[in-house]
Amino acid sequence: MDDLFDPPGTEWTRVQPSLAVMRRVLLAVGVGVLAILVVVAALVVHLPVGLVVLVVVAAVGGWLWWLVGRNVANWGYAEREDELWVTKGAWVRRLVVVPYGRMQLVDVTVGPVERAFGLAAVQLHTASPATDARIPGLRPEEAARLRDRLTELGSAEQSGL
Amino acid sequence: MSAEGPSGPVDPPPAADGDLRRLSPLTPLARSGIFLVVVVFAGGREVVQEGDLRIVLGLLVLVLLAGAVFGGLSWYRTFFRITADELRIDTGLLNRRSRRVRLDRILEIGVDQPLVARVLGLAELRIETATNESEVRLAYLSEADAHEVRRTLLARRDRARDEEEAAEPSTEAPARLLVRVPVSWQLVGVLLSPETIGLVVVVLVVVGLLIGGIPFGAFGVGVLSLLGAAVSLGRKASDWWDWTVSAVPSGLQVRHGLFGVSTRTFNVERLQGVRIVEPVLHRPFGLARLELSVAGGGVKESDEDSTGVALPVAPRHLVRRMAEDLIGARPGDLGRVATTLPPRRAGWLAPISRRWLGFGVSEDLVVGRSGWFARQTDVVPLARVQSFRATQGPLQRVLDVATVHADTPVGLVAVAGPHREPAQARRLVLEGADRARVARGGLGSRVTADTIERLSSETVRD
Repeated sequence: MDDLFDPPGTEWTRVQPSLAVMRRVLLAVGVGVLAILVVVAALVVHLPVGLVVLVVVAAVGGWLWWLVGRNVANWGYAEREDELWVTKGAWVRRLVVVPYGRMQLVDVTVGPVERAFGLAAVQLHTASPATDARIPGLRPEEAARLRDRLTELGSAEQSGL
Repeated sequence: MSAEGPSGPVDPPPAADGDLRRLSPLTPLARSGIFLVVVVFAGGREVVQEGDLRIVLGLLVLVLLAGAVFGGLSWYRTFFRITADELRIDTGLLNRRSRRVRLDRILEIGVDQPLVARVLGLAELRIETATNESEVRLAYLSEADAHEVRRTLLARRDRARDEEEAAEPSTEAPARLLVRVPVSWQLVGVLLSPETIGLVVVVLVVVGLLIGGIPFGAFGVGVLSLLGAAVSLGRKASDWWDWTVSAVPSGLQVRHGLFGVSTRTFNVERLQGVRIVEPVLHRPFGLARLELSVAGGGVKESDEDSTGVALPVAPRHLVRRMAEDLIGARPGDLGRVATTLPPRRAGWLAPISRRWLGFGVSEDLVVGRSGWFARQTDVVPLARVQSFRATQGPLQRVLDVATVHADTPVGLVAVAGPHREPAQARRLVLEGADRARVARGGLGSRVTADTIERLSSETVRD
């Protein structure tokens, strides 16, 4: 028997590792800003408490750093004949199976930071808001290919609500 | 390119297929118009309070300039394109977004004209698909363009749909009565409700207070809660009065009420799932309630009317039978779906509810059970499931269990099987997806006509 989060008979197509780099840069910036604020506050108010807070911030930051790596490493998708499979998550692990015929919309988004890292995200919407099928960290060509492929398969398999 | 200015009597020539088109160049103006009003309002209040006009004016100019630049750039970077089977919209200054909407998925297209837009002769298109979160907007187009685009989209949608399916039977058949809830069921249903339990508790409290020698408190509590319970029960009784369920061409029609008769129609074609509720007090009498979940599709008028109680109180076998008929299952199918409980170790996560958390997948149904106080059975046809999911949180990982979900459009019925063995969760997801494919091929489209035919009044009246 397969493990719950194994791919369906094929391999997962993993997302780009640069997604982890991007997220870690954002994380580092966030933690850095927070740390500076804490240091300033500590100098003004009370030094020992500030140091404790700083240690906590650093610890949480480190844990998130590690989690980002796991998260991106776990993110993957597989195009099967009839469904798209997506897996993700490190803290809460998830597996989503979306039949192509259920697709309502396909979005491709590229944010400014993502563009700097040469990444794009594809998101599938079905009629259910619970369907959580987002794949970030794709190369733009791959994102465009996936979108076209999904739209094409969606039309072929179309079945109403 | 869009036509400018106020709409003429003549429709502009429709753009050729696949042409990249822009929104009306007046868009930034219309958008900043809203901006302007806000700014003037906020600024005006500042002026009254502080009297420093120059700063306010300076800020105003700055904000307007920024708005104009941003609006202009955003307009410059926005395109849309209509092809034979999709609408594509590219937007975004920094966050580029390319969105594709399949035309056959469009439910409704609204034309909105806020005040500023009306003054400028512009209109906004609001394109509704069955997703709840992502309404698609095209703002703004000139009025004439808006109507032309709307017509084009709807015409192509209809063409795309006509190719898919044969014309619907649209004969107006009269409503056929299925069930009329008799007073006896109604009496049991109303009297044995949570309000009654509340009332019993209150009586006990009052008696306690009397024994404890606090007659004033007892009197106050007693009168107030009697009043509350009486109002609540009375409202329920009058609401449930003369509850009838009939079959009409589009689905199930429910009429009820003593003082104001309310009527609602459940569209069977868009039925997503059914829920059977058996409250603890009704169980000894073998009574249950039937609730339906119908995809509203974001169409505002019908949203409220689409989901809710179809039958407030009726014998269990009748409720089951009606549920089976509605979801296109054979009689007795519901009872044949094997549901299993989470393993014993899941008791760490759900100590009390574990013993009532059933979940099972059959050839064409997904069934989830939960609750003791109000035992609830949620049923979704596999042909209606949008996606299957498995999730595993950190605590679940420690206990080696996972949760499976069968996702349906937002509504009443949501089927999930919490805290399963991972191997079983895996099998449910795989089998669910496999069978959903088969079920989609078979059942999906021809549910309506059959279903309504099957809602047979003789099985129902006994």
